[in-house]
Amino acid sequence: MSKTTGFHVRHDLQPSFTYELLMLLRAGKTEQTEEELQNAAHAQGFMLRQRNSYGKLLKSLEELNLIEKNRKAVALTEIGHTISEAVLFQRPLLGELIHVLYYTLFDSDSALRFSWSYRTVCQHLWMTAPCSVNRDRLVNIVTQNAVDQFDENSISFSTQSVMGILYWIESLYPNCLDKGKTTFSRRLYCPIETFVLALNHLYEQHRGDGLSLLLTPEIRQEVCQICLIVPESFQEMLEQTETSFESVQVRRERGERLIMTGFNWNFLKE
Amino acid sequence: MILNDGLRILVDKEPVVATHVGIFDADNAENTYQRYRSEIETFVVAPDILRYQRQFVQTVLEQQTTIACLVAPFGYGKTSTAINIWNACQEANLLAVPPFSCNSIAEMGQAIATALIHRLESLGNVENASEVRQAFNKYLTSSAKRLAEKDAELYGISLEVALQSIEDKIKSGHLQLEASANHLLSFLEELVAIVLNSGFQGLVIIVDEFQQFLGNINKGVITNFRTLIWGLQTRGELPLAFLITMDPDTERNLTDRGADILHRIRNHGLYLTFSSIYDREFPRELWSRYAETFGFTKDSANIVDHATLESIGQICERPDLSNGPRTVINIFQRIATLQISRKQAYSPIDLINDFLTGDIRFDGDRGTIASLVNEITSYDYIKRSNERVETIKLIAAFPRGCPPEVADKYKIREAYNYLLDELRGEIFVELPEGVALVDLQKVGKPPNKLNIILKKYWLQITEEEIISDKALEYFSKYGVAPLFPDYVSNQNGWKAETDRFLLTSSGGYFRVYEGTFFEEYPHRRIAVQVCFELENIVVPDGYVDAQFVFLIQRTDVNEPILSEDIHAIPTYIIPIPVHQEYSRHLPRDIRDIENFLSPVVLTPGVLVSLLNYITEQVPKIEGMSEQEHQRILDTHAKLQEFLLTMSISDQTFEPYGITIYSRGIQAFRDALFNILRDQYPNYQSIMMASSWRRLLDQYLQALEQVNSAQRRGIEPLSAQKSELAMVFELRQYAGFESYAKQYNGLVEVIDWRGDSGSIIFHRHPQENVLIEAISLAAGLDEDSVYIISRQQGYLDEETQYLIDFLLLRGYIEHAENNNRLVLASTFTLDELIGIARQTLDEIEYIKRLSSSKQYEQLHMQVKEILTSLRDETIDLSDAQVRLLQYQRQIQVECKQIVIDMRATVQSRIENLYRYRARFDEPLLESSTGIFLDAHVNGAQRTLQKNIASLSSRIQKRISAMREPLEQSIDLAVGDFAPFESYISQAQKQLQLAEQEESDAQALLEQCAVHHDWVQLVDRLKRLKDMIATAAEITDTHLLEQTLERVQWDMQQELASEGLKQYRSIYNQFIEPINGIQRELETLSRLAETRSRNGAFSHATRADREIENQPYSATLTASEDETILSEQLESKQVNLKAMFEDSTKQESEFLQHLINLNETGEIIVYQRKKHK
Repeated sequence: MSKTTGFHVRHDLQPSFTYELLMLLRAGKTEQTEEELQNAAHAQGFMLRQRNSYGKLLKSLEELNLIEKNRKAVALTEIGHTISEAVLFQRPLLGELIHVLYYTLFDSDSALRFSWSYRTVCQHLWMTAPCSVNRDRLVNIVTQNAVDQFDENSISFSTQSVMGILYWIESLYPNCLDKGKTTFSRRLYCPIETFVLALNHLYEQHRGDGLSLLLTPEIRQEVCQICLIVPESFQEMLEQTETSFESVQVRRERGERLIMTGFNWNFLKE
Repeated sequence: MILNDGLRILVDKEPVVATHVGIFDADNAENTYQRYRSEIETFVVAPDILRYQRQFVQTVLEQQTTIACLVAPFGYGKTSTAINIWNACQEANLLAVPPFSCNSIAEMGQAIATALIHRLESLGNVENASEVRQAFNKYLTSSAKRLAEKDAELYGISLEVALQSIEDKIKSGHLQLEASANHLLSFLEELVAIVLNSGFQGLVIIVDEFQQFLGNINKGVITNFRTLIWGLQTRGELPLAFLITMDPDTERNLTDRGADILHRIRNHGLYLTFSSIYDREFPRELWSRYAETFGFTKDSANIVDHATLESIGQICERPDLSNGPRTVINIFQRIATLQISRKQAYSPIDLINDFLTGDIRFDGDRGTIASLVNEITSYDYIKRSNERVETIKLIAAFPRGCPPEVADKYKIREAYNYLLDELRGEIFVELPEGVALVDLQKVGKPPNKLNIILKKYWLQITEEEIISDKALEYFSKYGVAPLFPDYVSNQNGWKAETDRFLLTSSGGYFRVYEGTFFEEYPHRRIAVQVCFELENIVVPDGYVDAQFVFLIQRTDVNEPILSEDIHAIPTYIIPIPVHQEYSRHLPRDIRDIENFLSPVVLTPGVLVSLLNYITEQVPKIEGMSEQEHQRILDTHAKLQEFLLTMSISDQTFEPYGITIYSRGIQAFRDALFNILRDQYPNYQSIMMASSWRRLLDQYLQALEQVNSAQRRGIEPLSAQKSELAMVFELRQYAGFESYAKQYNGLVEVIDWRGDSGSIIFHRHPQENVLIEAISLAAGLDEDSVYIISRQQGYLDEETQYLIDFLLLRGYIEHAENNNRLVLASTFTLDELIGIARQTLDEIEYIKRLSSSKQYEQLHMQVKEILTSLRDETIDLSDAQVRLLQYQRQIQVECKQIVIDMRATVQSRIENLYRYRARFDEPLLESSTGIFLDAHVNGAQRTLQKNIASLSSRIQKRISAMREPLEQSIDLAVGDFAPFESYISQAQKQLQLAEQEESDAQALLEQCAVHHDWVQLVDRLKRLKDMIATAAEITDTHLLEQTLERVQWDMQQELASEGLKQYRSIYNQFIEPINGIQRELETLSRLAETRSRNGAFSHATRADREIENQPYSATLTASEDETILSEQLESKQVNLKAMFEDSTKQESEFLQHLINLNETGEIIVYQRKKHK
């Protein structure tokens, strides 16, 4: 378990900055210092050039396990490299992939409290959808839940943190938020990549020692919550995923059982 | 043969030819032979099969061991083909075992052995039949004997009984003893020898339905099969052939488990897969063959027409709609059956009806046609009219398309046309051969509307479409336009100058966009061209910052195309190999599209064509749910994203030395930033914000309000904060510092504390560039300035403001003669030094006129400039501006000085007028009659003359002073000389006026003295009269002498000094005269008192008292008279006596007075009480 992080989801890490940083890190030498990144961003005319410091951005990417630091230099992790390769060709996937990371990291490392905040907000929005996005209300929910979950009475989580979450929810396509960013609705479907990553996450979380995972109503709902989709689309998405990925099999004996063998994020490069 | 006989044969023909299974004995062998012969009669040999058959037979005849294989799906006639080959072999004098199926090597051996025994015995060759039997026993039943020996020993029975029991079980099929492949090989070798001995050319074994043999394809089976095939291979020159048939699934399984076996079979060159050899012509040929064979050639067309045969052909060529030849035969049997009973030609509609009723059993195992027709004809819209139902059925019978002529033939053309109009796209698709059901096309049943669009696209896509000019138009629309996101603000987004890409005269497509991605480079103008050849590039109107040419390449190009600037426009060529297959799959969400398009491969040409098709089709689809619509748009967006991502990669701009890290729109954006930065390295936009024009107007207005030095940033502008804000038309100064930052350095806040602040204006870097350009060219017209500026990235709007700034700052000006922009005139160094010196002189001059300390500072500043000029360390233009600035300050001061001078002169004139008015009063004359009158009146006349003279002079002075007064009104202070002259003249006049005033003052003084003299003479006259009166009562002789003497002296003084000492003479004699008067008055009182009281002593005392009176007494005559008369009328009192009766205690002062009174030092009178 890594060092326990704060509950705050940094609003500095916006999708556009993230994309540009990933591109710079992908294209540059293995390790780059912040100064080198800044120089490259200025040379490219990236929006990053408007920022004086990349410290917070790099810290967030490190927490998301997209980069690793070696003294002053940073480099892409394996998953960071995979994602950067994927979004090079499919930029709309960036928001989806970071959303999945933010949502699921807490399950693999409970020290990553920002991930817990992120999923708490997403789950509340999903459960109450269609709903208006009340930032103060979301702050209250996270802080109250933090008391129950972690016995933490005073956490660092504000409307700025909610903004940090909404940036990524807003970047999803199909959209969850309306143009005014005031109303949240479940999506009618989602990219297949998001769906398969959500399936894989739950498969790894719940299958235990077994080879297959029974797709119970609870598992289906969890997948829909991660993907922020309507439950009605689960079956169609599942069938599409089954036909699109050789490593995904669904056995339909005594209920649907999911088997994912040899699946990893590298499929994004294919 | 009559018609019905032939048809009955056909009716009886089994669609599936049963393969022989097991041993060939007397009971079943003849049946098999009969069935096989019957099949041979009606079998239509396809050319490919005939070729194969001949090669097979020939190979055996050439004494080569042959391994052959036929692969086809069920119903495609594998067994029929095998039977026909068997027949061909027999005709070639080969001993061929009729096609059979088996489950094991043992069964195979038994079947072969029994078939040969049956065949040889039927030929009467008992001996060879016996040899076969022996061989079988030798190789394939030895294992049974061994088993019998064990059973005899174990159960204690005889060997014969045990063997009989086992053989019976083998015969009945209850026991199968697994023989090895090696045994079979040895058995076959021996059989070949027997066969050859029997007069045959060779032995042929045909194992049908080989999947039966392979079973579950376990390891033992594979091993045996491998041993058999490998073993046959080693028997290279044996006239032995081994032919197997199998379905594609078995072939696939065998490939997985024993690919090496299939490879060895294929090596023999007799491996035929014939699912596709039964094409649409097969039914027609087969029917023709049947007609010939069964003798109804003449009636053939009446039984089934050409259109129906075509329909059957179109269905049976599709494995998803039929079971191939088996379906054909099934249909023909149905036709024959119907023909016998109803005598009516079979139509395509009959065919579909039979599919619906199930009378055609072999419908591809999925019932696709039946379920589809059922679904469509169940719609109310269709089923309300029988013709519509019939039309649907007719069209369903033609998956490749039902020609309108067929509809004519069946008299449903009207419904055909009507439904086509109504259901085109949704239900029907128009194909080259006619109208077909959309859902019967290869792409299968559509799960959604997007798939319908994709299928329809696949149906209509042509090579011509992809390579035609439309490719340019489509690429412009879907591959280029999205690179320029819509306009949002000056700092973000683009506007196209035309509503669409325009077709150029050279055949390309052209469009200009204006906008930007970057706030550093607002309002860029970018030309985009899409063309097939570089020669198609046209020249854009007006200035463009860069030009992108998307070169649609119809052939593969290996080397990158690098362009020089075309028409002096920086041009970047982006090659798009329109036919090159993408190296990358579509995103997973939409990867199925690749399958839909198969065998068409995905290329840029196909992709843009597909994008356009989807765009056009979406509005035409009715009843689409929002979700479907959204998904189609989503797919469209993803396809477009893919197109852009693949069209512009991180290597696209590498030939131009531009390194980018991304792809697609982002790559284009990044490349454009690099291009603009390299092209305009020094560009710094002045369009700082969305309200840039208002900001710059405010800046201009601010410049207009400040002085030249401040405009040039030589001096800061310091004032109250509110005043500074007002310079920029801001009513509040809160936030002014942030406001100023919007100017990107054009104005800088250098101090902002307390209530006041300081700002300084700076030149924009491009202003310096323009100054230099205008200087080098010795003047430029404005158009040239715009061009120079535009080449450095500046927009015309920006340049206009920069010119305005320069004009206001005084660096440039419009030439008077030709209106060109020229550098503002500047003095030479020597001239400026002269001006500085002159300015210093002027300051010195002004300093003398004013006591203000500011001139000291001004003097110091000018002196500094003078020093800098001498040292040549200052820009002449700046020095000039500063000197002018100081001169303006001087001018302001001069103006004030003139105003002050006017006031002074005016005041002097008023004074002079006042003096002159006083001179209008006439001077008194003396008329006492004494001699002094002559002197005083003489003085009066002289004074009168002086007054007249001075009045005249004053009048002239006033007139003289009015002149500078009038001059001052129009005096231009810009020129120092007139000012100096004016001041000098005014000062001179003031000086003269002062003199006049002084003279007038002196004259007025003399007039006043003269007045005193007149009074004095009058007093003298009265004194003389008083002395004469007093002489009657007292001796006044002495006084009279004194008076005469004084009078004489006065005459002498006046005569000698006159007006010169008019006052001093007067002063000299006034006191003696006063003394005479006082003495006279005293004498007079004493004389009067004596005359009343007779007390002479008192008179003496009174004399003494008078003598003791000081001359300086100032009593007037009337007062003296009053006192004197009171003394005379009062009674002397004795103070001591007066206070003796008083009860009050005497004070010390009173005691002193009493003492004085007693000694006579003081006399006290008691005033007479008035009644």
